[in-house]
Amino acid sequence: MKKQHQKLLFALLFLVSFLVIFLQVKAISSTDQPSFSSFYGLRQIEHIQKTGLPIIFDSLSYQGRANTTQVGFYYLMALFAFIFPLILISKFINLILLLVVVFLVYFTANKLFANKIIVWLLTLMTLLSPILFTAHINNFDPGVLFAILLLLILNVFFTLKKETSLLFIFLILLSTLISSLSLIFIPTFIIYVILMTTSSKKLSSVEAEVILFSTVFIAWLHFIIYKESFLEYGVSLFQKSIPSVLFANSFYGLTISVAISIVGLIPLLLGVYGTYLTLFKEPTKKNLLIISFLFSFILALSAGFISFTDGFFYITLLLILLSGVAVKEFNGFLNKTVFQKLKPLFFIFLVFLIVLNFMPVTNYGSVVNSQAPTPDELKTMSYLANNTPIDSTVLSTIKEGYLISSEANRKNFYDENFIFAPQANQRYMDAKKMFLSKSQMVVLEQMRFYGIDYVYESPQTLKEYPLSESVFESGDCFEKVFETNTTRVFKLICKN
Amino acid sequence: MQKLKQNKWILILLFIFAILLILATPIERSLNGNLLTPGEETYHHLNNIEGGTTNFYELIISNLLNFIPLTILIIVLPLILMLLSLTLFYSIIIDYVKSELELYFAMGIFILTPVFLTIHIGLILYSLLLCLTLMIVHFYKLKSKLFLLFLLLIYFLSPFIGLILILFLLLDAGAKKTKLNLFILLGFIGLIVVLGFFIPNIYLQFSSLQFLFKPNQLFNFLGGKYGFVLFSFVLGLLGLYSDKDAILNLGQRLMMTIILFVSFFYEPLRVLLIPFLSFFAANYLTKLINKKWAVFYLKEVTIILFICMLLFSTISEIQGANAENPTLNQKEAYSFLYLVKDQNPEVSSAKLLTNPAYGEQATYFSKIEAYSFLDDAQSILFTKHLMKSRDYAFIKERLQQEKIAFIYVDDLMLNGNILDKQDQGILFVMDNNDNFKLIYSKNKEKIYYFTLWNYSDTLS
Repeated sequence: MKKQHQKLLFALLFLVSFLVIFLQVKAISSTDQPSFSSFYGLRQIEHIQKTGLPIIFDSLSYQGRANTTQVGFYYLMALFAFIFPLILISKFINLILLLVVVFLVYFTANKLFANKIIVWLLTLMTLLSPILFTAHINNFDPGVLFAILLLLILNVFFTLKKETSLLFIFLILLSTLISSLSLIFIPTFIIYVILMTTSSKKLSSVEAEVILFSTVFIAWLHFIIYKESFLEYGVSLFQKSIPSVLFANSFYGLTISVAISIVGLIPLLLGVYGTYLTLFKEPTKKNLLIISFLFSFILALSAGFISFTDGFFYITLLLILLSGVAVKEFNGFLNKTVFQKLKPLFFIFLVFLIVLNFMPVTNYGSVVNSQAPTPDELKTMSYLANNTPIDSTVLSTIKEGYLISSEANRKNFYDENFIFAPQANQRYMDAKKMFLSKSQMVVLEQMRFYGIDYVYESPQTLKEYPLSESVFESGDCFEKVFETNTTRVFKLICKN
Repeated sequence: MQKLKQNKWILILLFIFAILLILATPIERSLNGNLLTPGEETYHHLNNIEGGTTNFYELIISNLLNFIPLTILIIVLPLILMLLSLTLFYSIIIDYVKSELELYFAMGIFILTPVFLTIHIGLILYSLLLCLTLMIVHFYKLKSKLFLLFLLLIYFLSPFIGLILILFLLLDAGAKKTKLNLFILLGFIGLIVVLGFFIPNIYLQFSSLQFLFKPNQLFNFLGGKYGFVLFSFVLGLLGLYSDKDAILNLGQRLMMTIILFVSFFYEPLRVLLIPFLSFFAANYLTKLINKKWAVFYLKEVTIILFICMLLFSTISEIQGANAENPTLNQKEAYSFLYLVKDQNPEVSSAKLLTNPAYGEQATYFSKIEAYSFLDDAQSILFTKHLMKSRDYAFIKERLQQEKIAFIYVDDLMLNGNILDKQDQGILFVMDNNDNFKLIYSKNKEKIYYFTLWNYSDTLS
């Protein structure tokens, strides 16, 4: 390809990058607040800034419970928070990190493929992937940072030598401190060793040693952090002890067509074909490692060990890298046929399909908006913070649990941090009963048992528990103490 | 074969260390004032001995009880079996280890394996099974026909394990072309088939074999009481398959793989695999140490991590055993029930409903038969169903049907173990129905009496 053409394509890539950044900023700016789940991270950072330590015992979550998690990400963000406002970081950090991911895909593709068109195409697929665009938008979690570490680990492993082994170990250590997703390296390395053996390829001694060390280290560190949970929950800990109803719902409605729309038709088809080519026709060490990661994530997702969004986020990233193998093969095939001259046409058609798949998420602002608290909700939190006793417990939907503890500074009944949560499943079921029951007696019994003082109703409540008239409104044991256009707070007045 | 140089003092220290580890749990429990043996199995055997239905292991215990008091036997018998197993393990591996270090590692890993500790605290059948298995291997290795006697004993105790051992030895005899052993083993199979007709219990044991895949029971860190330790499991597998000196021939290695696979579904096999995995783990660990590493700084760290993982599991096991039931408070409650039964002969046929995990202990101390036990899946299911129900009619009908007069609940049962909170299920019914009387409430233990358990009879 002529250098002029290359420059033109890369200029186009930059243009698309700016367009994607613009669309992301537009979607994020549709609300002033980060998503509901981000408030967990915000509280962690505020605590780290105040005390230098993460929250080990959370007196507000589940009315008081032990809190165990990897805190590397929150410490890192606490450092940034000394320079930038925390709310800004929580909303935009994942956008910045996502751009680093795109750059790393470009960098990795360069190592995998000599053909610049393939590198260009893979970068474009990453930029215009619906799941990569939406998964962590306006969210504050370590997911994207982990993706960066995963890509860095891939790159270092591609050219692993004695000199770079320390860097590899450092990245493994960092990823272990950042997220429990680092456990994925264990099955990945096992699958990699199996694939290498079946492909009659030999591991270098440096590779074998770092694999052995990393596997033992990751396993050991997780045993230490989650020792009690492992003993209590066993294998189900990998499903993060999610209440059974929520766990079942997380996969509800997943069909082939949904998967295609999430991953994108082109990365899915080309990625799968690329996997086939690598496994059965041209196994290379680098591609076998990517496939090992892919298989591990698919296994983890199907067993429910990682969330739906996280699973598809990483699977898509890996499929995009593997798509290059299929494109390379297709290019080689075209070169041998009379269709060689039609290559630009195929290329344009491919780009057209990628853009077409991206179109539905261009207007993602409304979804982002619905996943974050509204001004009314924040006003209500402020009321709860200033007008209720400091040790009172507020009942809300599970999604708003973090918001209650973070913004109202009051005890929540439950939230989405299920590890070590006391009777999470039972609480989820009881909360449902309280919101949906028409019997004041039943609700009172539950509220007294758990020591719940206030009930918070919001648009999220109506969405999750659609009921024309709640017992809180009609019952004589509840008093409406605060109201906005969209939210209400009820106080339990019949304490005994 | 050149005799391996050994430091006797290290070996003696290893034996002393093993004794101390086994005694750590009873010592720590007695320091906390609790002299009761932890776990259910000890009480299961004692209940069986009292009830008269005994197997070979219980027969040994009941005979020994004629000479030795129970409190001493509970500590001494496992200790003797442990020392015997350790000595046998040593005498088996001494000819196969290639270095002094490998020998100490193998012994150390064997001693530190949590299951090895668990089976030697109290009266546990697996301690005898392990000892007999090592006896068989030891005498077979010495080419003494005495191994057949132990094979027969193990066959009586656990026919399936016996059969697996026969197959394993047959493979060895076949591979080494030792015709005599081959004939003897085939003759032995004939003998046990014939014996099976005279001792019907043996075939019954085959028919009641249960192969269940419980992922949480596979590994110790997932809560499996008799689970593998990840450390020795991984190193053991690496040692087994990377062993180029072929301690085991191809057929035996294949058999080992099959046994390993079956052990995922059959608990006793997991226990018997400990010495084998310990040996192969030590083999691989020594290889790792002797190997020249390309990334030199990883060598020490990796080995230290491996050892930390093993120690981590062992310490957790000791801590777990110290906190295990029965507690003194539980014993007090059971003793109260014993008094009730003693003073009210009309409840002598009544049963006790409680957590199946307490079934044997409750029966042993109260002398009132518990309704459900851990080894009875159907009664566990029924107990959970009954405990979670708030339907009085259903509860009444089932309690009367099963002749259950007493219901025992404690704090643990209300914290996710069967129930989740105070007023849930049967507790709500018992607190709000006059037919249930709270007859004991001390510490966090409560006992209710169901007045209509035997239709017209009531407690005086």
